[in-house]
Amino acid sequence: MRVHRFVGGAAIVCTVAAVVGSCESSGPNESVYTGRRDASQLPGIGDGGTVLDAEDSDGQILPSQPFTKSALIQDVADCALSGYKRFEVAMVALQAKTSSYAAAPTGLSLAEAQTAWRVAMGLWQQAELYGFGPAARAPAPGALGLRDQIYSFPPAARCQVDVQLVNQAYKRNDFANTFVSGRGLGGLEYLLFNTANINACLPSSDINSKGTWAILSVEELQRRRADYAVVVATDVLTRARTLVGAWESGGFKQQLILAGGGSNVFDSAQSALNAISDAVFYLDQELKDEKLGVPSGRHQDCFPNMTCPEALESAYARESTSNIVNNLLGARNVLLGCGAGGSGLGFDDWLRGIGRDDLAVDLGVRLNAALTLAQDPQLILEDALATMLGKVLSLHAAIQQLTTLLKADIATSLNLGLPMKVADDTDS
Amino acid sequence: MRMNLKSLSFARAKDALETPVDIAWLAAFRVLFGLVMCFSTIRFIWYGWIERSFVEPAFHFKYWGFGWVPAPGLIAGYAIFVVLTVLAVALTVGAWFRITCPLFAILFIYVQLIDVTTYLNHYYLAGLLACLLAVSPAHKAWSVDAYRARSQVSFVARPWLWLFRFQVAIVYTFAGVAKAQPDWLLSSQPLGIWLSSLTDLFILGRFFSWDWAAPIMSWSGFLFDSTIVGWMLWHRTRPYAYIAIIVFHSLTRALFPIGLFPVIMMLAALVFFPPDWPRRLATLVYPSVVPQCGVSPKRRSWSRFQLTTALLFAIVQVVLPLRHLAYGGNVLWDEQGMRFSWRVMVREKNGSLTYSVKQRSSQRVFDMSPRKYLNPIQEKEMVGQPDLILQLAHHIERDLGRKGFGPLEIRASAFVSLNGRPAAYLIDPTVDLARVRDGLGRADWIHPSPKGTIPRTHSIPHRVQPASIRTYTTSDLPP
Repeated sequence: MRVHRFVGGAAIVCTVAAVVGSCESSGPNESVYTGRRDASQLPGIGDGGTVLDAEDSDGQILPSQPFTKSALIQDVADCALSGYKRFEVAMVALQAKTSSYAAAPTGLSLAEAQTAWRVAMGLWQQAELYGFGPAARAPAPGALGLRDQIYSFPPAARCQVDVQLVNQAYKRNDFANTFVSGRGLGGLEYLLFNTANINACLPSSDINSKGTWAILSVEELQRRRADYAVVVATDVLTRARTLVGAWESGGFKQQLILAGGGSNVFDSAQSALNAISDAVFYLDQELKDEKLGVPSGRHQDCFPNMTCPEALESAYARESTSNIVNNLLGARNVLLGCGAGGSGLGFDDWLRGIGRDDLAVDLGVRLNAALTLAQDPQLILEDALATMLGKVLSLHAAIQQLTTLLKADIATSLNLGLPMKVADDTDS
Repeated sequence: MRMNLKSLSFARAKDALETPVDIAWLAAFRVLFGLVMCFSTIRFIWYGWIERSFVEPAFHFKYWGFGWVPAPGLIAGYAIFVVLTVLAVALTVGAWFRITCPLFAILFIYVQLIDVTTYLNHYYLAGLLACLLAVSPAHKAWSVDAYRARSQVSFVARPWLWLFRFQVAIVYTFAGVAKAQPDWLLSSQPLGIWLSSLTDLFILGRFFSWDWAAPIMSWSGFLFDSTIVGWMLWHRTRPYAYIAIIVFHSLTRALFPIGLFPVIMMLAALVFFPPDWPRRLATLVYPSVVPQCGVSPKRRSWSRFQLTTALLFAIVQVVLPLRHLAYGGNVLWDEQGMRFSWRVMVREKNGSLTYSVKQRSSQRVFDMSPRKYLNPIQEKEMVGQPDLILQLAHHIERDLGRKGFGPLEIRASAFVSLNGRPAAYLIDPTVDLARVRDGLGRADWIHPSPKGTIPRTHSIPHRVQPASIRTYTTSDLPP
């Protein structure tokens, strides 16, 4: 949806200020979406957690630019880097808050750490839709595999976190090289939000059968969880900085923008847009199937159970719905535009550029329909699976409508092929 | 009188067929084909396609009647391709040709039979050419075998030349026929879609951003494919036609991920030159080489068995690409009669497929993604191919049945866009695919092709008017 080009600088400055608690800018009302409105209303986190457009930052609207693929790539690149920078800043805050909590474990310090986690997680959930380049897994173009290091969902391996609590593996120097499922934002959620004195392992596991879990006192468990959280937050912050660094100063962003014009990573603008669109298909597998399909019992992996609440993404923080909203906001940034309410250059402008206004409109309608359903204040997935499954299934259906449009009509019209990592010969 | 003319014509044809031709063309073809196959197999290994195509997938799609063909493991897969490479080298140099070339053909065809989603027209062509070579006397000259036998044969029966020419002509002709349809000629699709993604190409990109680029190229491609055989057969136009072949295939190679198809066609088209072309070429490069001339070879004809076999082969090659007529419907949509019919680059299909599985005993319904069993390439290929959708449905039934979930009903929600048309159901979503038998008959569980015209699109212009900001509602949906 195009009004004017994306300007992200002001938003980033404001986000930094927001984390230290001094930014008074209101920006667009929508921000990082969390179930806890107190977190969502942290000042200065712009629309969709990504940008303040030119009008919001200095009161002037920039003149419209003609649509070109390179302009779209430029905007997506700006949007993604802005999102990563915001996440980095949020991780600075989260690391600080977890450190404070570890130093003085009180209800207040824990609540602050939890809030900081919600903000960081919300921003990351939007950034999930920018999973191309350094965030992606090899052999995707420019891949460094950093996404999994920051957040490896799915799966969630909570038992592994419990085991590492017992053996204090988080104190080892090589902790950063251990399985990602025991680290990252998923591990942090479990450490910060799970205050129960029970673990997620089977009775037959060593920590239960040998009694090493049982001998930990409640206070010791709390202390270890706090210490573990600091280590994980520090690790994620390091990864976030690596990710931003990989994009900046002649890094991946430059390669992306130069696609087809001297880029070492992308030999054409189309190949760059293929990589970008490939990341958007997060909506299909991770969002539709893993986050909604499995918990709601709609997906094969839940069968023969009716529902699978244990498969919810952020059940401990009760943020599973917020994650979905933020994923959709991230998708909106790419598909419609990174500005307020989806303004700015997006794939819808590309569709208009080739004369498929109908598909552009349909894309906006389906995306906003899914967003509206996800933002239903009553829809808290942790409860809704039991009380309003129909609404959950409606949201699942709405996202399926969106992904079908993307995979069929839009992929054909824009010639969005398989990404380079799986490219093959063809002749039919 | 009529009888006399008839017998005269027959006698002339017989005479022409029995007059041998220089074997040089066949020996050169063997060498070039072997080199390309050698390159092809090494390329397959180098790109890691063995793991991806044969080892990683949890399920392989089989050709009808070939469900018994096993997929190799990792080590066996590599061993097969190493052997194929060695055989290709042996084929090139003509060593133990009567063993190595048939072995190459068998092994190559086996590899193609492992998974339908790896089907490519040029692999099919390579398989056919390997079979033809395997039964031909291509090793009788310029080969290790000839050297070992101390006997260089100079001539070969003329029907060999015409059999190879026929095979190559079939490819071009049916590729042209496949383009004689509205999508290609009137809507310039799918070429328009593909070219619109190439507008940033150096020099050519500017051309592709013009709206008439796709129509020009569509019609050029159609005219090229459907007439090139005629131009190659006429000696006056042959050199220019071959230059056109080189330009055409080089261009397609540069623009599309079409693999070795252009290379194979460029070398295959050499069979239209006079059979002594390699000697003439050698004379140009090395004037001391004496061309074959002035020799009066003995008449060499094919046996009745050879002639009958060749005739049957030719009939099959003509009938196979036309079998879609027996099915009716749009072959690009229902794919009934699509494979082995030289429909090269005439469809762009994308879609979304979800299986809906119903357990009869509990009446529970859940979704299954093809992704559970397939890799991304398999998934992309099978989404638009109804028989493969049916195959996977049967596999899901078997798989879940083994796990004790049966009996099941399996329906497919396959929403597919063909050549830019609005997406439509490919499979009747009410049909229980678990009850549908796979076969070669007309599949009435496939939805008819959507009738609507293809929406007109154009490449990205240099300047577009800015759109105004707006919020979408359901009232904005197109009718």
